[in-house]
Amino acid sequence: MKTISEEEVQALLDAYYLGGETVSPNQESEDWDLYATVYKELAKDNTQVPSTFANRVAVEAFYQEERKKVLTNRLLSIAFIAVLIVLGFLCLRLFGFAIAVQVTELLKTPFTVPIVLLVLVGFVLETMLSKKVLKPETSVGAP
Amino acid sequence: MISDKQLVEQVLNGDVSAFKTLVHQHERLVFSIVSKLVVEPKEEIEDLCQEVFLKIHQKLKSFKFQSKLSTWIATIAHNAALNHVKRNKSFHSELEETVLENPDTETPESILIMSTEAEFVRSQIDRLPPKHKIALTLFHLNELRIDEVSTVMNISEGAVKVLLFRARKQLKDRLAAYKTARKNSHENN
Repeated sequence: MKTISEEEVQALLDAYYLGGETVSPNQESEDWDLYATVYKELAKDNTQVPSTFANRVAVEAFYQEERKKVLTNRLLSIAFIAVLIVLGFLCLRLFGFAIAVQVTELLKTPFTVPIVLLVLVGFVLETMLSKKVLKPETSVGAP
Repeated sequence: MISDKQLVEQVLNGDVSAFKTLVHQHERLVFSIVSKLVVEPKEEIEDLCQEVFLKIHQKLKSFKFQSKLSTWIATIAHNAALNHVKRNKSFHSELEETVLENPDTETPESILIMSTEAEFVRSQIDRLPPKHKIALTLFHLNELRIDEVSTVMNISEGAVKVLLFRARKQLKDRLAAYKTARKNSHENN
């Protein structure tokens, strides 16, 4: 048996432990046994993981996702309100205070409440009617 | 067993149990990396590992399977642990670094107290510099290829090979010294 270098010993043990190759121990190399002990210990897993870890992390990830959704919704609401404010401001800039005065005057009249109610009733009726009209159409072709 | 791709798709669709499976499959990998770099109480290591997995959950959309899922997860864990060490460069970590760099601080008596060769080697693995420990852990324990270890550690493949060779040689030399010391001690007795 020939004497081999440390690099060669390591390469052979790499092939044996990780590549699944079969190698016969080289007794001529003093390092062989020492390296074999080192490799054996390196392959041992002493990592300790709590048994409930995966469960805990999954639950935390779920709550994190929920919190993210809530935050996104709040941000969208704020953005919507901001857009409304900007649009209102633009209206005032373009049409002056005349439009604001007209809107206020309209709200002051005794007809405001009946008009709003009428519009609401109209909207509800229109929705209901459109559903009724759609029903026969969607049932076309049904057995 | 489902593939990594299927598992990732399920997690992206909001399946909590799929994410639990993903964590379960990779928790040993993440713990082994973090515990090699972070020298802190067990609870701190656990918290950091949890942070790593929450980051993985957030970033999973950006994972395009250019590498193995385990390599990607290992890279995130390695970077998070490095950042944590940089942020909390405390007295303890500095002390640890000094001890790691100076194995000569061991007394012959303390060496001979170790009952077996295996026990001695394990203690010496813990005393190696963090970079050496990470390279050894990824290559031997988690069975990553040299190119994968190089991706995780962000160093060249040549540097990984040098790290592995030096770390194993150091361990072998220390084991040889331990054996000689034990032999001499027996002869004297």
